[in-house]
Amino acid sequence: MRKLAKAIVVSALLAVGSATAIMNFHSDVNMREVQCEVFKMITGVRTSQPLLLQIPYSIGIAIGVLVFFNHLRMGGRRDEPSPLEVEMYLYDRNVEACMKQKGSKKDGNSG
Amino acid sequence: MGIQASRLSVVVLGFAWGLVTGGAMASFLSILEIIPRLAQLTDTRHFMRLYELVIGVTMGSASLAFDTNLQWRLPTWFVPPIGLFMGMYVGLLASALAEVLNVLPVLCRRFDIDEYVWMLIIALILGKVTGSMALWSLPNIP
Repeated sequence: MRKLAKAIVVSALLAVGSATAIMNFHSDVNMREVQCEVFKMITGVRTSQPLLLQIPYSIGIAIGVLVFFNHLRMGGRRDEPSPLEVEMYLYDRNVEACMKQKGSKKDGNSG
Repeated sequence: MGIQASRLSVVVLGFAWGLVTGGAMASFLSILEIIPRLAQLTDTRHFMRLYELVIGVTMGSASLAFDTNLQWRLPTWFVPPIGLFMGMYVGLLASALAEVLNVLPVLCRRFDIDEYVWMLIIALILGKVTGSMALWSLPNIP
């Protein structure tokens, strides 16, 4: 139960943070201007708010993240780990190696 | 003769510029590992050459289309599918960034919530979608 509470707090942090991050990204790469340009390129109509492009775009972001983290099956091999699992494994391995190194250094100093 | 020489030098300059930009884009894409990820998910690793070709040709023609102010005047229903694919690509890009992949294991380890990773990912997605929707709903400030 405590774990669930912690997970909810971390999730809230991540949600607010990723909302800010994606807005920063969009401003940084001037995404709105590119979308207006693409809209003009396809339809020939000039508009400052191409919602017809922007709403599917936002939904697409969700699908992209899901696909990357292996939540949607696309008919590939199922036994392969997702990038997150690989990263978790690498992180755990590094932590263990670091702890071992620290322990051996301490032993060397005392002995 | 002078004008022709200067034109030729502009052509050479533009070509060199494009070569550098294309190389930079290719190395950026290979750092992010989006394409290997998609190939792994769909089990189509042997089509890697096709993916490379598609990316190269599309980048070249898209930049040409932007520079020449091309307009197709297609019906409006062409727009949403393209928007969806644009968003999917950005979603892949945003999750492939090393920061996200490095932060999640640390958070899971620190707070000991390994079994709730799915919740963290859902939270990430909700945040990204609301954030971008909110940005689009704001008026365009030049």
